[in-house]
Amino acid sequence: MVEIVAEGRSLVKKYGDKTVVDGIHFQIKRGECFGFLGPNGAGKTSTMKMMYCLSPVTSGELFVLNLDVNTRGREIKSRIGVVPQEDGLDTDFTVLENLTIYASYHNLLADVAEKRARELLRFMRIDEKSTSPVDQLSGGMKRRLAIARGMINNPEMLFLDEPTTGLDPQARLLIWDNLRALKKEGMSMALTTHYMEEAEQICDRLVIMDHGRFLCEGKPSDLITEHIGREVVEFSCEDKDINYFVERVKNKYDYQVIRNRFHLFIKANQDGKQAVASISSSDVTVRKATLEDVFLKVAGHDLRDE
Amino acid sequence: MWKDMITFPRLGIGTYRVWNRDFFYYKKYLMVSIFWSFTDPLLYILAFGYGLGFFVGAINGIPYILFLAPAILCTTGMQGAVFESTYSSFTKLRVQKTYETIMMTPVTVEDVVAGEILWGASKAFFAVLGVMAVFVAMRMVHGFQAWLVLPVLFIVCWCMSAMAMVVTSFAKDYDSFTYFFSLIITPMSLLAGTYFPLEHFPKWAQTAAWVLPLTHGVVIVRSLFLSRWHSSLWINFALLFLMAILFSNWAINQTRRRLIY
Repeated sequence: MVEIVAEGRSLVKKYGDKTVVDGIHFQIKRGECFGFLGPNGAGKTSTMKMMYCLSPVTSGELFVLNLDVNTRGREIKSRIGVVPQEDGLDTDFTVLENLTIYASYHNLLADVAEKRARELLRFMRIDEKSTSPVDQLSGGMKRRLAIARGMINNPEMLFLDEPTTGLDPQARLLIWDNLRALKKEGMSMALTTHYMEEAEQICDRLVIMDHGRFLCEGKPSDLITEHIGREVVEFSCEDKDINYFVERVKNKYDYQVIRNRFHLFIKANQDGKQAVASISSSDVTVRKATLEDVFLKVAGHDLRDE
Repeated sequence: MWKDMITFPRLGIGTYRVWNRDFFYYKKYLMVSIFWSFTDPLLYILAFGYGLGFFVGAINGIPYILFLAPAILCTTGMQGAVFESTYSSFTKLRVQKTYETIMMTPVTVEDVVAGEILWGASKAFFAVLGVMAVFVAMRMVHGFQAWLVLPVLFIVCWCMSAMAMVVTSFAKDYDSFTYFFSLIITPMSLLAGTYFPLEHFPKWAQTAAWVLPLTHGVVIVRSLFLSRWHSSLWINFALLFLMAILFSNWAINQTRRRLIY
């Protein structure tokens, strides 16, 4: 039987009158990486904060490691690791001290803490910076230090809130390497992100959420096949021609028009090249379907200001 | 509700961890920390004790410098505690998000606030110890009672630290502390019977001074310092202690409201 490390049932979070998590259900299995995707304000961080017991549950049930978050917060916190959206590093201290002091909050003995801290710094590839003050680190290094800090107590499960937001591509790749290595070791993970590529790379299963609800749920590849298909044919047209193209494609393909750009979704049993040939447009391209297409299809493509 | 407010805050291992984080930082910059703790009180002794004291002579038969010395101990404690638990704590609460980070571990918000209050009190108390050492060197400390000022001064530091933490838990930005210092701390340091005896104040002002925790601190510390303890001081002691507990609980409750929502 698969062991469940986190489970929410009819989970609701309200701030005053505002509902940010609206009755969601989920189960996270041991050893898997479960992603919460969604635009800003979708309720991802609120869901995470309830799981790591920093924000009380408004209604519904939430269990982490089979413990009720309402009553067993301290025990849960001692067995999980948290990497919050803002690193929250202690700028009064060096890289190594950040880890050893955090270890003391977990009641680790000083010598055990230092040994573990040095291992983690090596694992996250920031060991050469161990005596630097944290404000001298680059954004990517700070993030890796925050991940190392989240692992200091040998957690059974790791919560990562937007682990690579604001980082450059190189820094992001390094963090993905680290997270994949952790997954290989069997670490259970819950992460939020709004980078679809990140979710495709790392998550075993994910949900796309908006306005506090799940829009779809599943393995990244299944979601792509189910909602989009195999390939996407893209082309642009003038505003006045939109209706003309709609008439031409609507009976043959699923499609989405984002401003004046057409996206035709090519199913497994259809041929992308044939679609390309039938479109009289100079910039028509065909490419693999991605999670981004799923996201834009289910969450819509309005701009979010929040 | 009121019963919770006057219950002594629960201290756990987490309280000590938070205290120890701050102590670790203090040790890193020990010399700087110590230097700044001494400058102010020594200036006051020089300016008021020797300078002004020359013209004042004696108050109620006590040489002015001996009248002033216990008050300097109290204001040293007050200043140290209040600075630590406003500016430093606010930085950790709002700017660095240190408290939220700590709360991702088994350390609770109650531990965090209690640990911070105790640290503010401890740091101020270290400064008080330094000033006391100077007074000993100046041969101003005589008798057993004079040494009992130390535990009382720790409670003064605690009370002030807790009061400052209440302000921090409500503060929106650093400017909020300007009001606190000019409307509460400066008047209190002048009107709590520190530089002159309260007896010469109008009756209403004397009554008003009883609301100020520093008043009770000064009267107890001065009596002990001059070996003039009397039993009515227990009332001052009880009030000071009660205020320390009230402020501590208030700070804990308000910070919890601010961090857990």
